[in-house]
Amino acid sequence: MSRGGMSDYVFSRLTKAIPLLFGISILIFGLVHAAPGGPLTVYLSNPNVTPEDIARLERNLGLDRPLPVQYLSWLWAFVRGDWGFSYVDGRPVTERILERGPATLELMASALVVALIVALVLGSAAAWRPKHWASRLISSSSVLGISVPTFWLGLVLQLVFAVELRLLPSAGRMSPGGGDRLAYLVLPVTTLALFYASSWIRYVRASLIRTLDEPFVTAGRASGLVEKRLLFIHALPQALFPLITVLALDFALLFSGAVVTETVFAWPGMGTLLLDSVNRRDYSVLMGILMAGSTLIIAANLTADILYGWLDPRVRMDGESES
Amino acid sequence: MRRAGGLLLIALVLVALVGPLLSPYTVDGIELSEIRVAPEASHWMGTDELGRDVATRVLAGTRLSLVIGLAGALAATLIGAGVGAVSGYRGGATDQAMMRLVDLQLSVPILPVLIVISAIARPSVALLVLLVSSFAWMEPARIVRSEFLRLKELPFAEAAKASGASDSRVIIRHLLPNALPPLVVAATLLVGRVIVMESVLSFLGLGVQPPRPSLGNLLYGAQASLATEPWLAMFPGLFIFWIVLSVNLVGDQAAVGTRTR
Repeated sequence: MSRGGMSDYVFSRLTKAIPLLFGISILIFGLVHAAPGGPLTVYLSNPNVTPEDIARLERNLGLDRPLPVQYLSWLWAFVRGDWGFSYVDGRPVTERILERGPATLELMASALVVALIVALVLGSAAAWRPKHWASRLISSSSVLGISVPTFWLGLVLQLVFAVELRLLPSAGRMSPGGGDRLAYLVLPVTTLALFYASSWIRYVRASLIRTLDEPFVTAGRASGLVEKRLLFIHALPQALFPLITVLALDFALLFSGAVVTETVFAWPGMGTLLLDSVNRRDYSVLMGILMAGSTLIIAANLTADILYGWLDPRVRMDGESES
Repeated sequence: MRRAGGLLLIALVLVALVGPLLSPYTVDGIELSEIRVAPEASHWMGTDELGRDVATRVLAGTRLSLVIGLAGALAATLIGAGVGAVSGYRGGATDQAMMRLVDLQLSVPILPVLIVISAIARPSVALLVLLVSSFAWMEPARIVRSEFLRLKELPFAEAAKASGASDSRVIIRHLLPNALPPLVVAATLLVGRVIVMESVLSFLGLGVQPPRPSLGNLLYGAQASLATEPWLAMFPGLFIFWIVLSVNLVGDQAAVGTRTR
């Protein structure tokens, strides 16, 4: 049996994702070039750099050309992997981002996995026996969880577990020797995961309660299926398909959350690089980070769309009319 | 738990409005003989490195946060409702173009972009509100659009059009009121979102600028003295938590209300 229309579906998703990246690249390019002083701000405040130097730099970097021309040549270079050089230390932007990217991905992936596991377990438990006191407790706690500001939670966890109890390291990614990586992950991941775990608990619970109400579940029950089998084999997968879309939409927020979490825990990822570069007006690195972040988000959304379409043929059929 | 939302919110607003009137201290009252005092009877939330009363500053910050949250959520809801209404009502190419704009905004890493813009532009509080809301209107837009797609096919909308009402009249007088319940729920939840975004930016030193206290910028610098003066970090954050929790609870209750209607 072939997955009918799958390649058409993937193609239609791609034709949406690529113009999206174009749009974002225009937005980001415009943003940086609209800044007073433009990309060369960092040199304007340097007393050793004369106006003649600035003029020469502008010529060398092509900044005296019309904006659309600059944009196209930047984009062309960008697509070929030439993201320019840091105005601060002269190293290639790609190099600086690649050395920070893995730390951010590690943080995001760990938080995503932890939040997903917690949400699945507690969310289905709360849906299975909605009236039970434990289920009520789970629901109430999840409201608290989505209301705690992430950066403040980070401060509180630091205060309790690093400063007072001295159980865990308060900042950084590893000790000088390189060991105990896991200990360094605990607080940042907890900080980042709490919001998403709580938000997805609410989603899993609501979606599963709806599914358990559907005729096929009643039919299963009537035909004598064991309750556990009914929950895990039949109802849960049905309830979880839409969660993929929620995860994808939350991915952009997760990236933002990682940026904040990194600054609180001095995590050496793209978030701390972003703030460093903002303070030093290192525009080429900033453009690189924003583009890398957007690409990551669009890729995650594309993957989720394709996965959803592959799992649930109905999405492939009416995906066009619905979006 | 849900019912508690309204009470929590009323209590918060009362504390923010009445508290400063009862406080013997002023927001910027520096008292160098009383710096870094831990919470005690005369300073409930302690004092900061300049001897300013933290409680007074937290309450002033709460007021500002509430104003920013309400104004930002209102602006985002208006933008979103406008985009969603036109998109859903017109349909076709207009709808497609506007929904691509929504997709675009949803794919932008919002906080990093806000960080870059506010570092470059150093916005005033009013501009900050506008900036945050220009990245928060997508949810209301989608809600109004999908409501409009459904509503415009119903007989009452057809009747209004057939009786010669203009497009804007149909949108504002006939369709929008029917799309209000889910829109109000979304707007309520946006208040919390906007407040969190503002406080994150201020926490990074990029939002509301000192000496004007906001709940976020009170936390800026608090991290450095976390070990010695933890109260500087605890109270502003607790108040952000209080605001967002009560708004979320009210939003939840409103959502239940709209579903059972």
